[in-house]
Amino acid sequence: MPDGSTNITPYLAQALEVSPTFAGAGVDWVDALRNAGAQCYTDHGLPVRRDEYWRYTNLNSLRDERFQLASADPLIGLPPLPHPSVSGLASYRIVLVNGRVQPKLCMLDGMPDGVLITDLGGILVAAPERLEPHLGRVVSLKDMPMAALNTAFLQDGMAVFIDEEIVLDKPVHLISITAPGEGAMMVQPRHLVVMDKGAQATLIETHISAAGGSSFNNIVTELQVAENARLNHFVFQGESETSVHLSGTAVALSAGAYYESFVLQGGAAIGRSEIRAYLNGPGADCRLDGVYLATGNQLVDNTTYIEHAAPECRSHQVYKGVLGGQSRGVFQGKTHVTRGAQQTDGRQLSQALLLSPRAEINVRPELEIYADDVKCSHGATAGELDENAVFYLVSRGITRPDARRMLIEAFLSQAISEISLRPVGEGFSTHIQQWLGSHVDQSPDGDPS
Amino acid sequence: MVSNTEAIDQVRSIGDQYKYGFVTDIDSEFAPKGLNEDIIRLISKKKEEPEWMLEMRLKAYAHWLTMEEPTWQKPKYSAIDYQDSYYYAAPKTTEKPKTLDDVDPKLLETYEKLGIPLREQEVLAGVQGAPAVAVDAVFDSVSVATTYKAKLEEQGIIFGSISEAMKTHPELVRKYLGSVVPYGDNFFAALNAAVFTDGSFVYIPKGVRCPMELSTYFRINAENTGQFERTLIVADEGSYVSYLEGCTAPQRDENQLHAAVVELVAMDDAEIKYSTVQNWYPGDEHGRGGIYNFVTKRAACRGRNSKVSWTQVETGSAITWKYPSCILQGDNSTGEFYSVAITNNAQLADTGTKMIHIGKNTRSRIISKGISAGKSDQTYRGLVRMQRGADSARNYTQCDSLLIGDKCGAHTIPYIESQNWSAQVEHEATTSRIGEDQLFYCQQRGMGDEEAVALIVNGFCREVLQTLPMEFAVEAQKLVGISLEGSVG
Amino acid sequence: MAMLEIHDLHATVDGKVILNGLNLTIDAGEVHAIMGPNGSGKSTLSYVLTGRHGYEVTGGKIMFDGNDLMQMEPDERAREGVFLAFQYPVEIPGVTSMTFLRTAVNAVREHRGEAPFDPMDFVKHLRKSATDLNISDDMLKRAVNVGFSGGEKKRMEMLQMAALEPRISILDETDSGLDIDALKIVADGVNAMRSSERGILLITHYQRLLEYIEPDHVHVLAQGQIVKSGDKSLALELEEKGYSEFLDNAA
Repeated sequence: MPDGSTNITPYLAQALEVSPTFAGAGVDWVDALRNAGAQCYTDHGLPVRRDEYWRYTNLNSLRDERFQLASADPLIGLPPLPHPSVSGLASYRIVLVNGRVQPKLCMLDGMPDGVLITDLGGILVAAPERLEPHLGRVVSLKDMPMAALNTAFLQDGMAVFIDEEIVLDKPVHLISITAPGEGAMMVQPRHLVVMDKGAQATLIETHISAAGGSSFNNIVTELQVAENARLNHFVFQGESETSVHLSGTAVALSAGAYYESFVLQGGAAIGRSEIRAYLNGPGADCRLDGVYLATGNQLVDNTTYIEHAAPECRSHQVYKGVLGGQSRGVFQGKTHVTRGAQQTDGRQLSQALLLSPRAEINVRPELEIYADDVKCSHGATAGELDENAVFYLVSRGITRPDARRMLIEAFLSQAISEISLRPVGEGFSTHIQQWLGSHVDQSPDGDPS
Repeated sequence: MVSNTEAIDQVRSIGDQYKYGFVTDIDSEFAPKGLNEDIIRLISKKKEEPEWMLEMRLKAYAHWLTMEEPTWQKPKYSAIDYQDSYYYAAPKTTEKPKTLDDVDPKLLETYEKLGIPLREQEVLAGVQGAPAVAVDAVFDSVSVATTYKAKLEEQGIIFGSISEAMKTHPELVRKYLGSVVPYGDNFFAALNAAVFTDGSFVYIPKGVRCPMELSTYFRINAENTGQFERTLIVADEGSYVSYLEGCTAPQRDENQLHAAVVELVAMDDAEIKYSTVQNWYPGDEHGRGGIYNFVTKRAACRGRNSKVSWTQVETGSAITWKYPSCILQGDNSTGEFYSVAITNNAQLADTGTKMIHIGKNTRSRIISKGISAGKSDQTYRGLVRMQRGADSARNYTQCDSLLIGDKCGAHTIPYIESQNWSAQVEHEATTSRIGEDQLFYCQQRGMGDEEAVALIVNGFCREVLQTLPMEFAVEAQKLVGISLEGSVG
Repeated sequence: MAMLEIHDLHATVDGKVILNGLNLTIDAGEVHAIMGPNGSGKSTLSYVLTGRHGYEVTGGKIMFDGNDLMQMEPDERAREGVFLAFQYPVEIPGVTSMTFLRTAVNAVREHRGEAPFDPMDFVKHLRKSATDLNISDDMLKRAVNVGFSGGEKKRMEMLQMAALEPRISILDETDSGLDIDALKIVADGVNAMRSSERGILLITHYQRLLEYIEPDHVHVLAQGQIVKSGDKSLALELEEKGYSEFLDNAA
């Protein structure tokens, strides 16, 4: 065991040391929030296998504290972005480099009245009172120890406010770039989206790495979707294979609110997307879908928790993944129906394809139900590509790799087709095709390199 | 007219209560209360055990002292005082009777009341054409009678109490005991290994198809007594056995602990079918009393083409905590788990299975039907693991939960781990309630509420119930209805 | 005394008024048909008569053989002889049709003070009706209505009616979704039930069913009331003119 393994709270000391210099320091509630994060992280420690939600994702590589918080002022240009159909979409663009918003790279012109898209660090200084009712209100630190660490480091990120009944004309595109230099670098960005009653918006996130150094990206996103508001949220995680990418999203939905989430994870050595959705008002509706692609030694984790805390809410989830090399996939999804949340409709499907003899999948769907008038279900499958189907295609003259790629694409398209914004769906499809093209090779057993 | 109504009411009032709650007034011999090495030596001495058995018990006890009681399961219970219980209670006539005529009539009467046939001829005179059932009757800590022993011995089948088998077939018992569930496996398995008092032992020799159902009937009678039985079934190459287990206990206000261990071993081409109808006293509607049923059941499918099938109907106990499992070691071996669990009033259950696929082409099938009513809470917890070498293994799991009323809970926690790309795992789970339209449809055809619920729930469980041997299936169907009485209103 | 007397019946569903002063009298031996446009309250009437929860009677009276029907639970009504052939028969997974039928018949027999059937006797008892309705043994072994075609479901309803020997049968849109052959089988089943002891209430949107089951009386239900009554010629008249007249009248 490495020496660091005895340290159950790596990075805490760094946080305590630097946070007094952060934006908003000295504001009582901001200090209190950071302290609460530090305390909660201290109480829990870095997640270990004993923690039900971290059973299959091992964070021992974080123990030795080799990651240092990124320096304050990195200066780089915008690297080329993947999938043109997404990056080419007219949008309000907000760019983070190493966890800090880079105003020069943002394109936020023409923001309508009642809309604010800006850097969190800026408001922490200029108008912290605007954040107070929202920041730290959705995320449950005791359930998300890594979010607690993020809170101890809370400093910058994206903040979006959309006022009542406003339908945002263009998507918000958050581009987050990690550009590690020589040493191992850590970033702790914090994002907040507040949608007032009846507001509608689309948020796209692109997470990429600009250089090859190793990085640890620990993101927390809080989303508040008020009565009858609608938020569509599409995330692309394509970080380098030397990075650890942990993303924790907490979303609160009021009555009649709608939230759509699609996460495409294809990058990082360890990539984890955890989404906790709280359906707090009657008739709230959420879709959580995703696709994951992994090869080599990658570990990709999708964890969801949906709390039906009010009657007549709906939640649908479809997660599909393709695992090659010696990669490991994790899907954990819990649907929790509280007492009184009658007429709940909660459905979940998780399917994984193993493309190689050394790949591995761990799945833990879970239903916890305390109301009787419910329709809840989950389904899970794991296995290799149906050889009969491959043979059928081959017998019609299609090459074996093409046949395999076609079938994998078809398998994934059921999830991709749920994406409501067409250019995003197309962009993600293109990415999947490219990935399959370079990872489902010509070898007879189809073992991706 | 009046007398008729009275009779119906009387029957109803019996049905409403736990049918097996009576106490047999019989002189029992107890070891002193509490748990220590001396008690374990005493149990071992009482049973005239070989030295190696005592050693195993003491090792298990020493290990148990280092272990912590598990807390990860959903049902929580107040701490058990392990020193405040008797670990050995036996009817005074401890000499095992040679024939049934020597058995204490009070015991015979008890089993008659429970509907368990201990007289061989009575079984034979029973339903036409019905296959005979051989019974090992375990009363508190000891086996009091085993029927059909002689007839089974003709085919080399060993069936009887495990204490006796330790004397008559020490090599077999020593070879297999603890080979599937080692004493260090878990807290309650360690406790059991230290203090188990009796249980059944079955050995089916090569190529023998056991000609009748074997069954053990467990009865807890004495107060402040835990029951720690140990069952070991070994099916040698090409053999087959169907084994039934039933359990009841008197109605008491305090909780009693039942921590059993069941080990099954199936060699090449052997098949074991193990059916349980668990009807321990569940406690009253306020959650007072009832059995803590903390059981470790595991099967090793050691041989090629071996097969183990668990069927359980769980309606009793205040808390049930058990996961009958299969270790599928032999290539082409098959594990099955069929379960109906019903919780009502304040009952808690955390049950399911583990299917560990090690060999090639191994198969498993899990069908679980959970029904929660009243204020009860129920969890299905299961693990399906495809290990690296489990080429072309298959699993199918279907977990359905039914909720009756808005004060109960139903949870499903499956773990699926696959390390083999050619293995296929398929899992489905649903949770729903009895449809208002289904209830009305039955009522419109003249059925009362409870009759309608019993009918619909039996339909919901049918896939599982029909895997039971016939005589058990009928009993289980009735039990489903009785267990849910008072759950609709 | 009439067998079924509905007097000034008012009923609501989810607080919405559906029946609004309905009067109807059916004597033993009579076949009545109630016709009406969609949403006129036809199905509500059948559920109110059988006591389904959620159908709240807010006024009026329903007397059945001199007893107040509203004082009885749905299963008591069934055992007293009120039968409803459902428009959408309900699926009950895992319960075989045979078990279901026997459970129902024995519940009714017990109520009448008759001995229950054992499984073997019941099979014999059911055989003739099943054959007449073209219901195979295989169908009886399948779970109630699970995977049945529309026609099979309706035939199973008729078999239940024959087996339960009700005093009054309410047939809610039994003709919907049936082809002509299935319709004939169902109609034969109903006609076989006609007797001086028994009343039949046909609820239908179309006149087609009445070509095969000839009613003694035809009523038009609109806006929760019987707005017109007549003999079977009324049905033909409705077929020609439609329901617009009644919709306009009420509006």
